[in-house]
Amino acid sequence: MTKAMPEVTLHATPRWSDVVLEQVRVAGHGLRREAIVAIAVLGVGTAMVGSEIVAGGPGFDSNETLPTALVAFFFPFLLWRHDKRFAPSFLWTLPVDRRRLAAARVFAGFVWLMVAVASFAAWLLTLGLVAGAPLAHTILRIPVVATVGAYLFGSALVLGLRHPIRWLLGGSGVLFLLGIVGDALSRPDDSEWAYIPGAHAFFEEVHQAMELWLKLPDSAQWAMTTFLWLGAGLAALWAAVTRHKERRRH
Amino acid sequence: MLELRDVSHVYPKGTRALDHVSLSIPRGMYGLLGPNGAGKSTLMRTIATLQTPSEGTVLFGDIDVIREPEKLRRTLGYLPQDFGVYPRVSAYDMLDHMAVLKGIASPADRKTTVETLLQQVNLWTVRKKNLSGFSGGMRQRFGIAQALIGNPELIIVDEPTAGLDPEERHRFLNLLAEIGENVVVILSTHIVEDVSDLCHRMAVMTDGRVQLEGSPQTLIQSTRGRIWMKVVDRAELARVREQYEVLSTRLFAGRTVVHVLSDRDPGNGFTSVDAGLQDVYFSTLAQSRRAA
Repeated sequence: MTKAMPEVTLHATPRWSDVVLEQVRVAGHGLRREAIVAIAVLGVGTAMVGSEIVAGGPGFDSNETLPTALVAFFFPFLLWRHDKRFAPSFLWTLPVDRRRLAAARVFAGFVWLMVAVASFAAWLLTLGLVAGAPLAHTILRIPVVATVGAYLFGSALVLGLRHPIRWLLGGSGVLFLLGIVGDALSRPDDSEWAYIPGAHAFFEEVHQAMELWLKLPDSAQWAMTTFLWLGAGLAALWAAVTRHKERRRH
Repeated sequence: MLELRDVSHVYPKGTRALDHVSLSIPRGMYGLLGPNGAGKSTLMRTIATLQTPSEGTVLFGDIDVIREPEKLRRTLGYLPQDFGVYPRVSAYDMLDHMAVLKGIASPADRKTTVETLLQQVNLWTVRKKNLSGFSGGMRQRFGIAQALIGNPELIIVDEPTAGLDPEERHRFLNLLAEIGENVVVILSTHIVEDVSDLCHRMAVMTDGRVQLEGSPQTLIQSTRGRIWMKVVDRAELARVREQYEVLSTRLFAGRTVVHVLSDRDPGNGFTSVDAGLQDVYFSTLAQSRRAA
């Protein structure tokens, strides 16, 4: 026998835009200390470049790519370091969908990463203008697409895996070993490949594909690479966020 | 108001944390007592929608908690054992953040809510201080403030006074007593005094089962005439433990006061004493051990 249950008063659920803005605000608060360290590093950099310019040096004489993608890859580790990503956490008792909350936090991190990249670019450009350095020696050294892609993959790793550091180290180890093995076997003309059926045909296909790729204009190469990397990053992130879907017994 | 029917939970490694738990919890303070590992926290997490039980039903009013957890979350206040989020954020900012996530969209409403709660839990003067700098008692009071956002009708507090000094504990219990009049408050603890001071009804859990349920007064009445006391020397204690079912021991003026459970007068210098909730609790644990 089921008794009629009294109705319970429910309060409103938060608006999606409010959740996103809140995550941006809280993520910013959480990254204050790191921001201060970054500003201090830029200050030291300014002093070093400035003293070189004053001494008559070029200030900027390199056009090598800056490692912002590497920083972006590890940025999610910093962003999520205090969060219980998989254990039942207090935040799960709030009336916000877990996947949406996770996605909002990723977006918040992205906003602050872009603020950091833009600030860094502005600093680089300003110093470059003062030093009279060519553009290729300043902001063109920042690989923006790679930075965004690396952030997406880093976020996917942190959100999708319980032990991302272990996976990262393990994966790096496997890639290193594969590299060694691949290096030893990457001579299609060597006699050992003769024993593997279709090996020569495969290498021929790869070679032709590479030639086709190199014939494309730079802009097409850039567009395709961007599309593939960002697409793969978003797909990985979507899969990672899906892991946080609430599962119920029905 | 809160109904649990045959709730069981078995963890993937085979541990049965809850074993056919059935409870009816009315408005007011409800105490859930039990030793560590009794299944209290699993039950709290289940009611708080943090985990789904293997079987059973949980109803809060007209809400089926297992099928519609998102609905319960719109009227739930939860203070977990470990409240560790965003430690570098100030108390004010964190409460404001929680208020947004609980659906209070209007900044003016949020300001009123946050300020009222900070004053209610006596944290107004430290509202700008980071949570990481809070003492255990301040964190618990902050925890109860966030649990009260949105006027929840179900409040769950899990081991809230563990690690608090007596003054902080007293202050916290007073706060709980204030809020527990019109809503359902479930207080999970292993500290008997917390329940005897605050709760109109209570249950004792061991091994994932509810062993005893009722009002503290009724439960104390039911143990009347079965608790016996004697002051013994330390050397005598081992023999007393062998002969009688010892419920508790405590030191008084260098000697040991022993409480034993017996349906008849155990003789040998034992005198009958008025049972307290602690005796009820320990006798339930003893019976549970015997049954196992």
